[in-house]
Amino acid sequence: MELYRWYILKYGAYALMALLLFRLQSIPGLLEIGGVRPLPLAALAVLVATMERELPGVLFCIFCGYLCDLYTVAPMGYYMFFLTVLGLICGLVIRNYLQPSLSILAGAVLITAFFCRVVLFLFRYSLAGVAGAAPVLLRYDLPHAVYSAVLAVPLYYPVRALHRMAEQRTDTRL
Amino acid sequence: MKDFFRSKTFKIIAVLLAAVLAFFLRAVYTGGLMPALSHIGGAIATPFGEFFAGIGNAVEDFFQPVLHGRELQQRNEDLQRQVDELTRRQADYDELKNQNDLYRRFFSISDSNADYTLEPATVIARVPDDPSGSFIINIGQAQGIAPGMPVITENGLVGIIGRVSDRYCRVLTLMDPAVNIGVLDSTTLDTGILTGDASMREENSARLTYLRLQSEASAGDLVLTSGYGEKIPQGLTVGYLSGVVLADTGLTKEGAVALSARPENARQVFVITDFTVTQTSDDETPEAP
Repeated sequence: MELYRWYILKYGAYALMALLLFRLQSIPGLLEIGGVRPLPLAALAVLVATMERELPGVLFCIFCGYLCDLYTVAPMGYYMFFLTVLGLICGLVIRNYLQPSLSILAGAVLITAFFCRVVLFLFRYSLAGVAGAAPVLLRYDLPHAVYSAVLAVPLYYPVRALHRMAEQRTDTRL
Repeated sequence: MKDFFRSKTFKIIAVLLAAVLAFFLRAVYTGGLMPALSHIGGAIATPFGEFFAGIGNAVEDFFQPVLHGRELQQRNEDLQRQVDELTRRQADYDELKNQNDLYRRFFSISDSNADYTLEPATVIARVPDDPSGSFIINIGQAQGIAPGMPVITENGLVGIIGRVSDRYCRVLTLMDPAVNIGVLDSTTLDTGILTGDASMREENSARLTYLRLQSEASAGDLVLTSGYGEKIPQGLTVGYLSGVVLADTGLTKEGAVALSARPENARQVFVITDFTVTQTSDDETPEAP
């Protein structure tokens, strides 16, 4: 019973964080710097997917992807799919071959956010034959990914604290 | 890791990923949102969005003078120059208008007035991953909104409706490369196509293409919608022409238009859901000599 209580508490807290970030990232002008807006939800999805087990991590990525998809220019399901796949890959690689340190996780967020942007760029500009779009990749998409990765730093500590607290209290990996 | 790929968990994840991929491909194929899921999300997110947009606007207002002081000063100087130019034009306009009214009465020319049905809306969110500045407004299918409808602010046309859900919709700005609108130069009456250009978004500008080779359009001309396509009424302010050059093909001219409405400043907008153009004739028609 204690196990399930902590399970619900931990993922409930993650879900609340996701909802809060969803609101923050779409509030007009709030997180915007120089015309660049970040995607902190992607950072949270990667952090949780890396620290938690595979299946809950994947489900949480789907949830974060759904929230991203509500207010994005991409087709519905775009972030649901790519955040889930990239979150799963990041989780498997980092847990098995690397250490989930802050710098590595920030790097994973950077790669994830930039990959999502590059795929979207290909479909929206390159394949659509839009001329002169290349600067957007450097002036907007790369800063967007870097900004999202920077936001992984303040998100890393609460996620790690929740993860460790639940592990210690239940003496098991939830 | 090998154990993971043989585990039951991996099979469940594979099924989940296949379902999400199918979901995504269907959205790409149909070109729309998933109705049920987007309606649910919109119904929950939109009321909160209005509240949080208010907070965001207050924060932006507070930091605006601190963060954008120099930019505001520059814009102020630009606007002052524009006011001087417009004052000069106003004098010409008054004279021409009087002359025009006289001719209109003289030749019994009818006047056309556009009658718009407007739906007010609040900007509740910015799209976080779009460099062209598209945003979300708090009305959707339930209020009769459909893709392609024009969205205006007090400064003129700001964009057109993109994807629509039940209670919210996305507005694609004029800087979006997917947006193409028929426009005309109000001075020379030359028509062209206004299309978004990713490289011009920082100047809040868009590209004017397909101006005829003989066009005498020049910098400073007011650009309005031409009404071509029947989705957008004629005469909506788009911006001012900032220069015209020969196109690469050598067959047409093209230029840049500094857009009047800035998407980042839009908080309250109006969607033109319907419009009719009525012809009214003057009652007092003097007899021709």
